[in-house]
Amino acid sequence: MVRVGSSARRGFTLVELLVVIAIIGILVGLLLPAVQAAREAARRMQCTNNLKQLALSVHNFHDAFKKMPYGMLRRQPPEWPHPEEGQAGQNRRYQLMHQLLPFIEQNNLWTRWDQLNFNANRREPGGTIDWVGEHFFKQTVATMVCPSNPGSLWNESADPADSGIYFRNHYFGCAGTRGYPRRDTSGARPSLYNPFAPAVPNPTPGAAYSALTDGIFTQNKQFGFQNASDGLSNTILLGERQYYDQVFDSLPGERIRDWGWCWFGAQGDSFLGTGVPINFQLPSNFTSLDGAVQQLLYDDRINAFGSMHVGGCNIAVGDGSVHFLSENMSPVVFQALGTRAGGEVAQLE
Amino acid sequence: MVEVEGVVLQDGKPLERIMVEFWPETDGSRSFGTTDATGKFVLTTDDGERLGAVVGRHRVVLKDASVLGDKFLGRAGEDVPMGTGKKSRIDGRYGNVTTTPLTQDVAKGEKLIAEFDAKQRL
Repeated sequence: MVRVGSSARRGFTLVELLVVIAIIGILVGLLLPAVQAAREAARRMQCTNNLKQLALSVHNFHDAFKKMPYGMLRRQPPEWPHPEEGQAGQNRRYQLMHQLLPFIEQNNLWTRWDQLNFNANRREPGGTIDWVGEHFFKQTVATMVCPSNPGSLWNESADPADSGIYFRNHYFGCAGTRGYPRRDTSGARPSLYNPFAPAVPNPTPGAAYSALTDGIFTQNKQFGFQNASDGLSNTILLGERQYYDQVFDSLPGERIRDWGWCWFGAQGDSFLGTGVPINFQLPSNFTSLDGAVQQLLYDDRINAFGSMHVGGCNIAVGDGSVHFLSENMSPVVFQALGTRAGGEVAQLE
Repeated sequence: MVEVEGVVLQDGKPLERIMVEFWPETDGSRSFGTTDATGKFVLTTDDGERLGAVVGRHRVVLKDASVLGDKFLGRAGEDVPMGTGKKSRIDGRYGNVTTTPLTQDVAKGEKLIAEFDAKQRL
């Protein structure tokens, strides 16, 4: 009796426990990837929603002003004279997303920006906290951020002389074939891409730079919906950038996350170009390449649409719809989707 | 993927430092290479990981890298008058996928040897 009773009350053996733990481990192992995939799916959905909101805000802007916002507004003579040409330093300067702030219920942020005196928005060189720029420190607008992208939501730069502290935006206007760089006082660079203007010694806006204004957004000029003769449903309006690039970040003084500050009004902070395949990253053999080829690839990277979503990126097209494009799609078709009046036959899906 | 190499010539002479890009008209990744002193290039994919190009019809884009000098400037390249007025040795139409006259079919099988003639003016 005693023997039976004590045997009935004995605990689990070590082997039994290990087997149970192993089974639980396997089950958790099966479950975790599914949970992670579900979380990424949710992030992608949030990103889709952000782009939808921003595309709608462009439409609301168009309703209010009969034109779309400037791709960016900044005086950069001689190529990009300011539409309100006046005293130097007294021209409004901001980028695309800044103009959309009042249309995504962020009017308070919009009004706090000194549009005429860009330097007033900077952090003070000494690093104390008096200047207006400090008010923008650690401001974030969730609609401007894709939750899948890594990195903090504001400028991490510790350098007080750095250009300012503004929140990051992960979404950009489509500038057509190329969004960056759009400056070149020698006129040499446009001859690389521009079918109509070989190298010109004194570039004038509109002529040498036509290849840089073939998108729905451009610098210092507002287009209307009527300018998208390829059709709003076949012209990319907004897109996102991937903030992960090990090769790019390993270059001295360079970091891909440093491109994309709301308000700043720099080309790489405002535009993407479809002349580069989706999710393009610098190649692993980058440092062994020709210096000028490196520069071309560097420019390509800043132009590239992309995301941390698996296999492609979200884009919003002119009619306000949001689509997920595969990184494997033909780059020829993708470029055609970026131009507003290219005349190509390219359709989504 | 099919391995691709070739030469870029102008009037029968090799052109050095031309960036050659293969843009597939069908799905697939872009590939690129740069010509050496003998005008020869070898294609690798955009990520630098694989040799060659995807099977299918490609548009071939040529860019004269020497226009941008020979130094990598990174971010500073944005505001520097690049090239000091150096003109492209080839027509600008080669530099854009919508206007380039060059195409190349890449067929399944062994290595493809391509040859392109780049004119100064198209």
